[in-house]
Amino acid sequence: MSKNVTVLVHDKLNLEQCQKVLAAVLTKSGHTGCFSGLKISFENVVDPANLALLVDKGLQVNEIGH
Amino acid sequence: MAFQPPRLGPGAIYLRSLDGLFRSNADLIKVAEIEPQTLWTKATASDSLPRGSRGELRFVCALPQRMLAHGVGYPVAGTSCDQHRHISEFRLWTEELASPWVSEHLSILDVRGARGSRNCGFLMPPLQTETQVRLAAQNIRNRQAVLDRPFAFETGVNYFSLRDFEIPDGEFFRAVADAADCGILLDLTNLWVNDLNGRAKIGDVLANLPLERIWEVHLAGIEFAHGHWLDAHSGKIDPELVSIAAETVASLPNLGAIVFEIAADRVASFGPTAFLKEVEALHELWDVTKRAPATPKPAAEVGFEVHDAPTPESWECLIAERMLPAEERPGNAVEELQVRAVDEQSFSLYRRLVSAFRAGTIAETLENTTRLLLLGIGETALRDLIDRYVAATLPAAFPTDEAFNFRRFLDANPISIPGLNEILKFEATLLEAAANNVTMRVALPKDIGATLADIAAGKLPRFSADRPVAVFEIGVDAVPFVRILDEQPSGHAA
Repeated sequence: MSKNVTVLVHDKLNLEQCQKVLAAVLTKSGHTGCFSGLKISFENVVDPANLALLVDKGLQVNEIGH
Repeated sequence: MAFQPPRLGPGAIYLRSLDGLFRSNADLIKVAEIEPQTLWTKATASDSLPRGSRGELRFVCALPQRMLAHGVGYPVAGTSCDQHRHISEFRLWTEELASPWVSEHLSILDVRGARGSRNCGFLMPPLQTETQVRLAAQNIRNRQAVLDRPFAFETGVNYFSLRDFEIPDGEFFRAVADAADCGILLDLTNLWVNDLNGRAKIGDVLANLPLERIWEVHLAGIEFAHGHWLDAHSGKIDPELVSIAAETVASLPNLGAIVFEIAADRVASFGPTAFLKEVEALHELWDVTKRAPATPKPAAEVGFEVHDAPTPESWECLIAERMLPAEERPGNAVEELQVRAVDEQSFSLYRRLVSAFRAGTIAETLENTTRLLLLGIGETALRDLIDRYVAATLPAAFPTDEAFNFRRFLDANPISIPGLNEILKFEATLLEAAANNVTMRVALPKDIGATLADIAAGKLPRFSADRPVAVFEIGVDAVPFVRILDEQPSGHAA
């Protein structure tokens, strides 16, 4: 399997960043898409060993830890 | 069959996270295949119908690509096949997207349990019998009628091995398409996975398909796990499959689109450059289609024997017995259907996939709750907790319902971790505001941000019983917002 990925919320999360979390929730509320393989989101959360991504204030995702 | 699809070209399944890439690469991505249900939300009321936001529909319609509507969640192979509840919303999206044709899966999702029709958690394959051909064809004709649009069914992955009495895959797909007089969405990845898992040689399947009925091709990355190759939509298309695809599309006279698929939770690791390279590869395939003959080579004669075979109802009853929680199983023996040892292995795989889907959904929708549980009880206990939840509850089609069900499970099986209740309340309120499109008020410690920061830093939150409490207002009015209304005396979080 490819390397693991996790998404970390910025460590000074304030109300503005709570809004970003809410915006992210909105993108995840739809029906699961059409595929019959593994959904790796849970594995990413429990095993962030290889790669971490930081979500910044602009909701840009940046790789960290490498 | 009079319909001849327009030649739209190569494209990809649209994901919200790829929106910018679609809009800035219209010259490369010619087709945006929209899965409307993935963009809909379902309110928390038990009888609510999922629907999409009109603003989002307008936003999607402004994409520079030609668009196709691909249904997920309402497959056409089962005895329970919705032709009513979701149709008006799906038809609206189909019309607004100006989709020349629509597609759905030749699969089963809802089965009859002890307490009624239930979502079994996975797009299960039908039993390939003559009776099933008639059932699927009738479902497809009905779906075409209510949508008033040309319809193509998707050839599915099948982790079972073929039974003696079943019609082989190619002949089965052909029989359904002929009986329904519809198109075929040829998912070559699914056929490739079936080949690698030993179910059916892809060449044999393709040799029996009515090539003139193939309007669309899907391609995606695969992955090996749990002893099987999986249609994981994991990224790069297998080069061997690209070669097979090149040979296949050259013989398809009515091909309208070639679509690349990637799962939403694989996008970040795959990256935009790799994504665009896969679409470039589809362009090379599309160039091959320009040389396709106007009249395809005829498919091999259908020569399957008709056997006495179990009914679709028996097959769905077996699915219910093997896939639903104990109290939901119908309980009646399926005597006419012999269950082989390899069938039990396949059902075990399906259950593991369902479990992975459901755990992934919880991690996505309740990410901070999941991370706090991990910090508080450790990975082994968390996996055990999720396993117990999955075994005891029905899967939900919409992630928000899965999250609310998990919250109820935690409420009924409390775990003592500092900050867990407040984080779960915070995240559940975000979800409820999003699902119901309403503004919610909730009392939480004013420094909820500090708790979230601790979780993000990988440590258990600092906890104090007398932290100041504030009323938070959370809503999604045009743009999402979270704001503090006022402060309450300490220790009064509702």
